Amino acid sequence: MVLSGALTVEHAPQLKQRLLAQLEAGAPVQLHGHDVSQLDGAGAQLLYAFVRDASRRGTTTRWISASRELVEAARMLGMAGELGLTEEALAWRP
Amino acid sequence: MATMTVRMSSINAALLDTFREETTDGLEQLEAKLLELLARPEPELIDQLFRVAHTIKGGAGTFGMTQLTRIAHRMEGVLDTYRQGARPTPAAVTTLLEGTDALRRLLAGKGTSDVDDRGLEARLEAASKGGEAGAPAHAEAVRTAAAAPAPPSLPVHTIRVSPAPGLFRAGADPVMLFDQLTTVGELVATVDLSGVPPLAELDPTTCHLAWSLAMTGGSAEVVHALFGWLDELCPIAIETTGGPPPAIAAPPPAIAAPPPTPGPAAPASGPAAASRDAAPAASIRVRLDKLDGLMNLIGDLMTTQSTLCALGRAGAAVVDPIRERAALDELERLTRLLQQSALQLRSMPISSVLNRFPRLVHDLAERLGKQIELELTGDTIELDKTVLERIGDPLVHLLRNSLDHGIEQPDVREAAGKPRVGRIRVSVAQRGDEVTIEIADDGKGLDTARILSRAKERGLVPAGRTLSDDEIHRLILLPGFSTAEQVSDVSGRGVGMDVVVRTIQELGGDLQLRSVLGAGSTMTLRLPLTLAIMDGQLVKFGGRTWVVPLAHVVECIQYSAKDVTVLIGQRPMYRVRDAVVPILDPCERLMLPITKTHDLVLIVEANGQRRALVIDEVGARQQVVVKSLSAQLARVDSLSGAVVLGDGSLGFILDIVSLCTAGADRAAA
Repeated sequence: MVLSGALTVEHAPQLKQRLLAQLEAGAPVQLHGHDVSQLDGAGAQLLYAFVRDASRRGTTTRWISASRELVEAARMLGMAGELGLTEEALAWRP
Repeated sequence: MATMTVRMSSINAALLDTFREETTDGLEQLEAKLLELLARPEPELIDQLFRVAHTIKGGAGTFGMTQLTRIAHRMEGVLDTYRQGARPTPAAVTTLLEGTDALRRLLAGKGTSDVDDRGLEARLEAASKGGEAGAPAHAEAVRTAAAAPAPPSLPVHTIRVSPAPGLFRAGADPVMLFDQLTTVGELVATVDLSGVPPLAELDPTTCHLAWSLAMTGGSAEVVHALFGWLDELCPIAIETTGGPPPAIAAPPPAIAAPPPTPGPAAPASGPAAASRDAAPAASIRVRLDKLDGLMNLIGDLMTTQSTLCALGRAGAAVVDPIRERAALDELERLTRLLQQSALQLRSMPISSVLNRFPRLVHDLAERLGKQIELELTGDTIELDKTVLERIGDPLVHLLRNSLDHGIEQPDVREAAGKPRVGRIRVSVAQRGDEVTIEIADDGKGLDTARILSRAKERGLVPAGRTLSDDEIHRLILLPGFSTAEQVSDVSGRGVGMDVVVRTIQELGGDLQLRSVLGAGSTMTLRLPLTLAIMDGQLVKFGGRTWVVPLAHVVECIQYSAKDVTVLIGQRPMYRVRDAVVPILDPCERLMLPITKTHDLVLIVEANGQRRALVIDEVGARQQVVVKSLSAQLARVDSLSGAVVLGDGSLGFILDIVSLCTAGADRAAA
């Protein structure tokens, strides 16, 4: 799943629909976040609900790449660990 | 859903207003501090600059003003190199000042602008690179020094952040908020995710998150200031442990905002949201102590009122006349104080206008190749908001004139035996109920010979008329007059001085000019403290009561026919001791029936011109509350406003400035 642009409140309804569809597909998810230009509280909350619900259903999620903006915002919110956006977890480092 | 959208957008608009107001203040601070930076590149100042830029960046980001965010970010980058020890250069400071201009423009355009700022961004980027490359060794030294002596005990603040569900919808972003906190202290955020519902049920624009932030360093006041503008959208509670007492530890907040009352998370309540739905009105920032003063007075007023009520209830038989008198005196005193207090709410320090001057002088001096030192005094004096709003441009015009026409090039000054650096002094002083603003320069002064020849060329002086130096100086205030040999975009187009004079007169003030060739010029503006309340002299003529602004009254004398002089072809004059003053019959001027023989002569003065107004009676001197005239009456140029008199009837204020000037035209004609 490729995430790009601003993962912010303005685009949150569309992002929710995409994440929900992905969740319901039930297949392991690889997240590509190197083109994310911005993450805000609303975007982070959606990503968290997605990662958590996937894990509850036994579906694995893994970040393949993440932009600096994405990682820094997640850290600022204290959510990097919950989102799996820690440096160790990242295959591609910003 | 439709209602929801309306509310969301109005909350956004209210927050945006707050942001714009605070950012306007921030930009003023930024500019003022940047101008200090070259002379005083101290870490404290640099930190303040960085904080202001960072706050602006954060706010702009939360409102999605990307271009504003980008420029603020680049400016922050340059300032950061100074924090790392690089020395600010004049060129870089000029670029940073251009940055503040761009931010101001973008702020006015709600984040967008027609101007292409890419060049500026590139220069800012270069400045941030240059700064770092410029002084690497020094930078390292400073970094080490900063790291080495850890402060003995930094306070640790535990901040509970409990956003309301509507936080995201209001356009506030915790990422930006927390990012701002990192400029104050070191921050570790712990998020509480327990409230986040399953993805399928999650409203993506509702905030279900809460945080506990551990911040090391900084002060609780700054945190309150940063979160203050969000009010109940993002309540916070702060617990502080360790560190010196807060009074010493607290640096002044970068942007002052009243601290919100910390409390538990509460959804944006109906009434609060509704109050923000109100149509935007012009707003003014009022210092808290002024409001406190007003509240105290109202408290006293209520006490006095209950005393009077008690006296009234006791019945006429038992009223103690002494107590009653005392209570009435107290009521009068309180009413007067309340009036003053209410007026003070409308007044703002003149610094809000003068703050623009250092920048203006910096830029113009650079462009004109002049060296100028600016001295500002009395900038804490307060003036009515309306006066302040209108006086800004005239003052700028006068200052530009001093810079452009007054102060000479450094070499010319040196040759004339003056210091190379020219001086412009802007001093503000309050005398009674008026404020004087003086702009004085030590430049070349007004060249009377040149002004006179120019005025004659333009037919402004009748042939054969001899003028005093003062009269010649005043010629430059006439429409279309300019002696600048070279028309520049700074000044010298000959438009302006007359506009300046007109604005000042409209505000009830006047402009005086003093100049000595070779030594400099001084322009003195006199302005009323407030437009809303005025000291007036009540007079009667034409069967009505009129108000003459006390500031224009010279004296009142008994009318005596033998003191009237009529020369052929001239207006009648009234002799007052050794002088003669043109007589003005207000009844004639206002086309009123003459109802009574004139008994008195009121001598009035405006712009150095005196007139003898013949009137019937003179009444009390009193403070009057000025009401503006209806559109039709506003066209009558002898009247400047209306007042409700003590007996409830309506009186008009005579426009003495126009009466004196109009009389002069006729006298000359």
